[in-house]
Amino acid sequence: MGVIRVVVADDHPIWLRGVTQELGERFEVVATATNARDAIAAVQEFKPDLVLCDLRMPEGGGIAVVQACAPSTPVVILTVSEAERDLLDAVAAGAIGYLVKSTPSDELRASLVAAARGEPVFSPALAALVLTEFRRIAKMRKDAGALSEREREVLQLVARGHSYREVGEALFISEKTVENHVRNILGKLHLTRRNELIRYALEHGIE
Amino acid sequence: MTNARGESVVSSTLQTQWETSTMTSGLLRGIAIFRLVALAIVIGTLVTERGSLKMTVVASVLVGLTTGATVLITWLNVAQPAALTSVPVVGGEVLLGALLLLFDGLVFRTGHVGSTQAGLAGSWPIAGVLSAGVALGPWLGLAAGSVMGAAHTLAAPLNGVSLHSSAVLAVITSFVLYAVYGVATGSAVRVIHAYDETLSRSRARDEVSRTLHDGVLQTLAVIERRSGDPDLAALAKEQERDLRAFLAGIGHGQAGLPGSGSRRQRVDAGELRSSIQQLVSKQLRHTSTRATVLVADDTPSLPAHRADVVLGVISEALANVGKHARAAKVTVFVEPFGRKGLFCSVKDDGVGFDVESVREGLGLTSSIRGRAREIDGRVELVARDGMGVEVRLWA
Repeated sequence: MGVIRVVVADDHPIWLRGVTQELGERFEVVATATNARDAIAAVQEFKPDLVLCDLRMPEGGGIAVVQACAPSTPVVILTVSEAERDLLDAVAAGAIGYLVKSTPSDELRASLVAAARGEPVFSPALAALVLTEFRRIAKMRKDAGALSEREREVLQLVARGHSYREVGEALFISEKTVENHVRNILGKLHLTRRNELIRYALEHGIE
Repeated sequence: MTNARGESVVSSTLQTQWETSTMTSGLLRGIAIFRLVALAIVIGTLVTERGSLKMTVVASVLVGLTTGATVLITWLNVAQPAALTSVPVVGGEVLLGALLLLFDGLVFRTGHVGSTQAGLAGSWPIAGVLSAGVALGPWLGLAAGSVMGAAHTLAAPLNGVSLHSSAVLAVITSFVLYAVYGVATGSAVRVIHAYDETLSRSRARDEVSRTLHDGVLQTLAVIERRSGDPDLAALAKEQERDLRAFLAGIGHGQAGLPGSGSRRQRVDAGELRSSIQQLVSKQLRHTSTRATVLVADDTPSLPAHRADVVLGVISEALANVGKHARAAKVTVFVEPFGRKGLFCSVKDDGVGFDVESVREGLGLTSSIRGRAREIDGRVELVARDGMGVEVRLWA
């Protein structure tokens, strides 16, 4: 993969400038935006490989960008805190993952390269949120989008802070298989969320 | 705003007062509408009951006064709401209401009071009682209600009605009702005030959290990442950790250390999270280890003594990470286990150790296992050379 073309959106100018400098030569920032509306317009105009956008922004925030651009363009959400409630909503809506703003530079770059390839950026915090979400879903409907026992194990190990390599060793599977599980889990989450919305729409007679 | 020492302080009382007065004036506006309707009924009664009047002029003057008072108070609602809660305005209205009730006994022919026919006063005096309750509190509300009750009671003998008939019961009932109106309104308003104050205090708290969150945390993150000076970056990291612990604390209305403050009965997921955040900032203060605290929202609440044990184990594990691990990252994870229990893990990516060679070493295993036994919990310690340590607890 050559130079990765990125749209960066954040309403904090310092951060916007900082991250643009920090991305280095592997990335080309084709456009920046300070609100969701401009970000969506920039994505439509420049067709980037990746969108990096803040969760909290004027005009709808990161979720609006995800809803408009994912999954055709991978969107990575940036956040100051993993305790944000709408983080899971953004990921469930189709974001490929999120990064905390204090992530060290090299880790940030590595995660973004992977994200541009379509690989989920899966932190322990996201794994924990997803586990909780699937427990909630399981409690509501027995049938809907349950995780397999293996997927649950993978997710729990990631949430506990194990690297993919460690997860693989603990479960006697290859690192590649762990990655596949993670991708499937995220796919299931997107699917259940979409089905939930459709079911809600049908039950409430919204066309 | 600055205090005596010139430090700037956040003023939340200002906001509270403002919101309280909006609520009070909202209630008074409601009463104003009631008063207008009551006035229409008073005027209607003057017309329909004119046949039973013996002092038509006095009755007309009274109705004129009532109309004037109603118009004045309604106008105050728009022009000068603050005056509505003043003693002269409320007192005047109560007095006029009492006069109306009293004169019911004088202006009508004998036998009118206590009969099924309507008196002039109607329900207009109730507006005064309600205003007194809202503006001056339950006790003065009771007083206003009692004045009305007394006036209504006196109207009967003034009208020449003897009080040994069934009218006694009706009169007593309305006396009690007036008094109850006053106390109930006053008490209800007091309860709403208290609730409203709590609400705006927590709103102010949210506001502070959000400001710190969006501003200061962002800045600290930038410093941490972009500073070439490792000391400055470490300082920013430490500050960020403290601020997060503080925010987690005020988010749940308890900014003290775990166990301090009022004795808790049960500890829920949010309290557990903020307590763990505080342990992190205490135990990892002088390290460069980045901590992630993950407590699932659906983690069941625990009785205080069990939560203390869980926090004790986490504290011990974190202390060891701080002292020995030289870790870049540590993750504390808590989720529900079984029906009422929880699973908890503390995992670092540090140097680890060889369990065989460091038997019961580091104070870790013995003290952690001891604590877990107190609550029939189970502990596992997994460590490998160069692969970090994980402490797992089922409680």
